[in-house]
Amino acid sequence: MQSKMLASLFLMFVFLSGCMSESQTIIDDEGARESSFDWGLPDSIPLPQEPDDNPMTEEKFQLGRHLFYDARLSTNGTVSCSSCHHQDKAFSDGVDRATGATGDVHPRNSQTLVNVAWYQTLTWGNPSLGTIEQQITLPLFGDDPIEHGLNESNSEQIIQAIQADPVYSELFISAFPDQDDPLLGDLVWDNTIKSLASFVRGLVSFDSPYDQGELTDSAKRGEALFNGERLECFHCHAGYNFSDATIDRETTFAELDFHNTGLYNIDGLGAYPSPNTGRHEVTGKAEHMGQFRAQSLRNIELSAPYNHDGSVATLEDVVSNYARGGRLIASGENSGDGRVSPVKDGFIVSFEITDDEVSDVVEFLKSLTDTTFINNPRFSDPWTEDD
Amino acid sequence: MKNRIKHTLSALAVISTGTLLTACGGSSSTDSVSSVSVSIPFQAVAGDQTIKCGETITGLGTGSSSETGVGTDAKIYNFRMFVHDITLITDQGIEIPAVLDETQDGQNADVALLDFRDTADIDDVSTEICPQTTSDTTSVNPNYKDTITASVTIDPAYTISHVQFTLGVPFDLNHDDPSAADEPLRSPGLATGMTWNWQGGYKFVGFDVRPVGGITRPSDDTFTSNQWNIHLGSTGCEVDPTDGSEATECLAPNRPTITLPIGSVALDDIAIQVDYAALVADSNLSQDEGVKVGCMSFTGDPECEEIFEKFGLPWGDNEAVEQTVFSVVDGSIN
Repeated sequence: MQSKMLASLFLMFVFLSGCMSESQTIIDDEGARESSFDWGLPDSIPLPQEPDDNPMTEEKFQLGRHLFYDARLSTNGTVSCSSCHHQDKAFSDGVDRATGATGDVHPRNSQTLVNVAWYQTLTWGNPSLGTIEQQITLPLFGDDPIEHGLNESNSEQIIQAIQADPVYSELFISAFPDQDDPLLGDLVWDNTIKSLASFVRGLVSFDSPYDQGELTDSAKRGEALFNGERLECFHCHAGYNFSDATIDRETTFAELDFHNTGLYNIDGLGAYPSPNTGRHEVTGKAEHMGQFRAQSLRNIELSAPYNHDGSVATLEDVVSNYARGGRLIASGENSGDGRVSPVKDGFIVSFEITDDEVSDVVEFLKSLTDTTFINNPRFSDPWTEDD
Repeated sequence: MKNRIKHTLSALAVISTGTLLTACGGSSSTDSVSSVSVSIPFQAVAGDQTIKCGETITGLGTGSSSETGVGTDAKIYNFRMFVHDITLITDQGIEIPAVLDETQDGQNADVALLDFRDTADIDDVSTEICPQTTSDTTSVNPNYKDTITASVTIDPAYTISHVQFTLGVPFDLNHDDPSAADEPLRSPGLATGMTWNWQGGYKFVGFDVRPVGGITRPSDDTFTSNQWNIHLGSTGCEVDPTDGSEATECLAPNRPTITLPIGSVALDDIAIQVDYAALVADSNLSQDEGVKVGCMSFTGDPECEEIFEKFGLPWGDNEAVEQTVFSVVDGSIN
């Protein structure tokens, strides 16, 4: 009895003191702009969510940056994260599908790494990947396809190479100051993954001509088309990150957002070629066939070729597919008319558009190219700085 | 009947001898109910052949490429599985949980990882049979595990008639961060190669073989593959859309509960057998119809229908039938 009372008193105290400290440190935004990391955001952009077990710090970001550019994190020393994610292409790679360390060709196109921190789910069409930390284990350890090729046989040797590099001993200690031995201890892999995630989370791009309000006349016309009911682009490419799959500190309600854009219709029932069936690949539900996450359009100019499998060459082609209400593939094993797909999204309707208007829309998309981002030395390869 | 009870009791006493006869509850409990430590051995076979790394298992499934003319010959590449919720069941239907001994390698209080890769043939890197697990150059897999250690509290008035377990990782542990998880769920660690993050969670079963003569795909002349996989795991686990936190449910949990009659085997002699030949009895290991090579649990993978049936799991419109992969055998015979 007595201990119960004490416990509730203690709880009350904790609760009260929690309230007090909140009222002291937070003015009116309920923590929305509190972070131990300098996000460098314009005021108009809400801060992204940070995982409770991996809050952002500059030290983790810097450690992650070194790891991101380190090809020792692969089975044969040939592949780093930066092999498929080049800063000058907004961290995409310019090819339709990339090749892993041992020759496996990835079924999907390498994505840009731009404002990843705001995404609701990670990768092209996976509703079961909700954190960057989870996602990063896939390229590192995945065996289908093999990307970095880390596995049971080589992971010990690989981490030993990292542990032996004196550059890392300082970086790990500053990134995880509460751990006795963050580099040689039991949590070295966890620390590696959390730091890589922190670097990717910190890749922030909100400094394009669009953000600065410097649109050309053509881009302005394109913006109006983009936001108009004829083209309907803005429904899925919504908000400040141009993707409806966006969450931030202020998010209180969201649905999982995935859309079928009528890119394929192999069987008349809307089928996409295996294994790239998007959300359906994970859930197996027929209605999820061909559903992919709406990509942020920021820096989209730099990430050709387009769509989940890199099967569309230019932005003009992307717009044309939408204008048609779905892509027509006239011949070959993937032939079919995406326009008549029974599972395509309701916003994928055909529309009339002139060539000039296509140019204007593309000009608007190019106004989302952030040259500060792709030249930002904070995001560049730290291993070449002393050369 | 009375004889049977006595027999069962003495069987338990034998089990506890030489392992860890604990007396939890000790002096204060009655003589009739006490906690004993038990070892529960598992055996991996393919019919009458023992699953061994580097050895060719002959005559598997419905193919015809085998030297024997029946089935497919294949080498074992991976043979691991997670089990949890091990329970003894009395002839009255009373369930007696076996509490996993968390101090043992390869198991914690909630789940155990059985690893039947007996040796790593690391000198012959070209074949990559049963991958090396340490930088140590011995050919023994240090993580080999075919026995689960647990404690059970049994009232001697009961007769144990069944043993039961669930295949897989419990839901509560299946979607946590594997790089910080407790063994045997850590990756890199004991669970390396058993994680399945693109679906969220672990491979509950990783039974992968390399068929002699390779694998062809009837619909695609250019297709080549050398490994026929069975990856059982939960599918359709969608994250919380507001914060990306882990799934609260999966469309297909795919955790079969296996209930096995002990039959006439003495309780101290029981071993739980997993029979790969029975699992692939209706599968052609020399061929793949599409999606992923072998069965990787997701809807539409043509090879999964037969495999799920053998595990006693529903598949599409097929309802679950009795599993045919696991059985209780007399471990004292071997």
